[in-house]
Amino acid sequence: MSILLRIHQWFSFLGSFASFGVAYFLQSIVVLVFVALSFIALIYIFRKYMARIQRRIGPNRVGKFGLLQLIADALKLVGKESILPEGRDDMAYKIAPVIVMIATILAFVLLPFGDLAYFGSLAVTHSKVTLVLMFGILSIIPIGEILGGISTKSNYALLGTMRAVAKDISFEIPMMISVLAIVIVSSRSYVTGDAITGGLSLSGIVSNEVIPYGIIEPLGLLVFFISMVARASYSPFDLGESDSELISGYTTEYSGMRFGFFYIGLFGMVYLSSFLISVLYLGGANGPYDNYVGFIYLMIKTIILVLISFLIWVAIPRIRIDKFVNLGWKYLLPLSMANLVYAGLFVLYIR
Amino acid sequence: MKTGDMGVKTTTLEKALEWGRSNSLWPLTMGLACCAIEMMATQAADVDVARFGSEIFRNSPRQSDLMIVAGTTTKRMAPRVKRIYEEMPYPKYVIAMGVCVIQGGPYVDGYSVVLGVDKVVPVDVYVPGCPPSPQALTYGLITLQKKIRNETDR
Amino acid sequence: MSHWIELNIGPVHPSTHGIYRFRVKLNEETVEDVDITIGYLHRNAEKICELNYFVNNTIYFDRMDYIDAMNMELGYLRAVEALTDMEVPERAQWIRMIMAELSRIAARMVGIGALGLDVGMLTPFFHTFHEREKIQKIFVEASGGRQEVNYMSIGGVYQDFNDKIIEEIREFISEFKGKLEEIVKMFTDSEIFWQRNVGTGILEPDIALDYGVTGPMLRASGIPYDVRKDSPYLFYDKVNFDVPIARTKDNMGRFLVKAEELRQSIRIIEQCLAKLPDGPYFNPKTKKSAMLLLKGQGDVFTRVESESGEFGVFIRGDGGVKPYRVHARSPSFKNLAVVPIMAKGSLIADLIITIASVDAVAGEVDR
Repeated sequence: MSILLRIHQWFSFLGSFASFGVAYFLQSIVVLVFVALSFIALIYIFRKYMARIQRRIGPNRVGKFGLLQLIADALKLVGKESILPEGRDDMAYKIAPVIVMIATILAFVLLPFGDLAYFGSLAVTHSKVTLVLMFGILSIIPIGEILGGISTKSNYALLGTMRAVAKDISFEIPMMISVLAIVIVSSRSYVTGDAITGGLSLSGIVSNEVIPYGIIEPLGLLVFFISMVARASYSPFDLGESDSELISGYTTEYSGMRFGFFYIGLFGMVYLSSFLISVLYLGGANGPYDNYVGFIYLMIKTIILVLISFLIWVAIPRIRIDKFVNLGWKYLLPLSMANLVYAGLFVLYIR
Repeated sequence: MKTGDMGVKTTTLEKALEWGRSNSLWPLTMGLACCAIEMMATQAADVDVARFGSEIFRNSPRQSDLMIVAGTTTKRMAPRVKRIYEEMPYPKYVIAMGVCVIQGGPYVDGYSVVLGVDKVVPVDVYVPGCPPSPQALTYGLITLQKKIRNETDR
Repeated sequence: MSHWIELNIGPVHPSTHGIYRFRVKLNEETVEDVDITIGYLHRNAEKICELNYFVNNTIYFDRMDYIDAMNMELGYLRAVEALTDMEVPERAQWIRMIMAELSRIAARMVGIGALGLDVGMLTPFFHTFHEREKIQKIFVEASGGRQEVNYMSIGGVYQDFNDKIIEEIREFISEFKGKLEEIVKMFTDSEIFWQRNVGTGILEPDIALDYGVTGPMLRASGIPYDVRKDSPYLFYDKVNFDVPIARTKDNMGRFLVKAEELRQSIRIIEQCLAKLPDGPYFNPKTKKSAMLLLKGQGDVFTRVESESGEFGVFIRGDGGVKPYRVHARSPSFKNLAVVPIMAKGSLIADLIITIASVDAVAGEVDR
């Protein structure tokens, strides 16, 4: 029995509708708290890991081993003045960081977290279209970035936004096409060859994914991974921010907690993209005894992907914008198309 | 920057904010002259100021808390230094690094050097030396952290 | 359609390497025109030098190209020694050579690390600065100063090399050989680094000669001009080293030339250590306290090869204890002047790398 139904039973005296409401609410809170805690651990790991690569020690003075460093950063950002620059578009300026952060957080609620011993299924959302919802939410994030960039009068922010837009339109189409290939492949069970449903929900995809899709369509995994690096916009593809060229790109004029929201959005996206890759391509929570420890399989895959992302982040120089657009339209798009055709042929074959 | 007298109940909150501020001083990458290289050395592997929470050298003044005036401030540069200081959000702190910034240093006889950046922006901590070693700058940073932690105890 | 954005890069910007202001006229991402404003670090060092005794002026030259202090000192002292007919004993000259090459390595480490930051690669910066820190330990051992060393003095050096320093230099050189290849590989193993550097920031040799460009920039344009080879000073004619050139004329050529020069510097230091003779480290006919009374008459111009090019010093003495006029021909100033030509028509990301590959130092440009 899943954790959701358990909570529903505890509150059954409220009636069916209200008790489900309370159950969904409580479980969302639990998931978000878990995500927030693991997120803090993630940034701590990032700093320590980066420091090791760079022959440094990393934060070690704030709390034991510097564990409280991120809490100190958060407290500082909260207490900081949030400057409202002159000549801004007030509404857009204020709403942009909120869009980025809320979209990033919302996306975590949709993930199929798998099963864990006593708690049962940890997934919050049981909608049949979580895949569509997920990529709908992911496509909201660029809107926040664009609004943040063009709402101020800074030229750096404007250039950063231009780059971010050029980047977004050149990788999102390959990304969506490679996701489409997943939907096609998961429309038929490759064990029995029967048509199965649930191909548009993330949990449905995971339950069909007996062999990880990354093995069936490695090309799709490649395209999707590159797209996710671009979506999370870290080092080879951090074109919107371009630290050394455009100061901070579209976040140049943001200060205080508004900047903190963008910062959370950046690291949140790294985390989320690792989750998505492990769910869509690496088998998610599947594995031996996944009724009991599926969640742990998912977390192990995700953390390994996060560490790979961080390694890419610190080691690879930034690509130039025209080269990236080239990569997107001339390589990723044809590759993803080929992958789509391949997926269709694969499904025909197993039928 | 004292946020105001909010009474006894908010003291704990102020203390927590002070603790956060002091442990997360993100410096601005602003190198003016020779001392900038030693500032970079402070950031680099052997001294590693990231241990104290100053990991991220932000490029944008909007996102930084600490301005390290590293290097001679000339009369032509002084208005820009002031402007960058004004672009930073409160609470903000300034470390004057090197003797040129403190009182003119070897260029005290010259016609174009501002004799002390404290004529332009308020300075919290002075780090003497020409240029100060990374260890000296780290000591200055720790001194600033102590200063911030004791802000509301006055 | 004319569609300009005026972008101010600097005076304070993470990748200007000092404080200049590049006013860039942008057509979307393409650079149409660059206008360089300098003078934000004008510390009137040349004028202050006229107020001081000859011996006191070394520190102002230290702070010109502040990452390559030894070569700056050497440039000034060679001029003063030529002006006042001061002999420098042989051991002191070899010591000066070792120190000048070590300083060149240290300066390059800063330049390459900053180039890494500019292309968006965080890691090499920390590795290069770790190597630089080792050189600075040697400098501290010899002179007491980390960066602005004030080690050489008129007629010799401040103090002799003891066994510990020589041992440290040997150790550093043997370690650095491997580390250098590792650092260079960090860049050259990256496909993106090649993509961003090859074919950007092209400097034609005739333009370089017109503008008086020297140093690695000129050599990367295919002209093998090196003061150490073409008019040898110290004992550069007694050691074997090659002057690397690149025919690609672009940023990648400049990077590779700089990397090769580091290997040659190691070669020079090894030979110097082998040939280091015994003897006085300071002119035995004079005393350090007599330096204040040093008088000079006439005009002198000497040059050395600093990390960014040909560094010349002109001194006019009027027979007094203070120079009448001191002027420095700074290579960074000349090299910086070609940035608009190199960057014209390229993207703004290329402009940043082009600025980084010039390795200009503000203290030397504005003096």
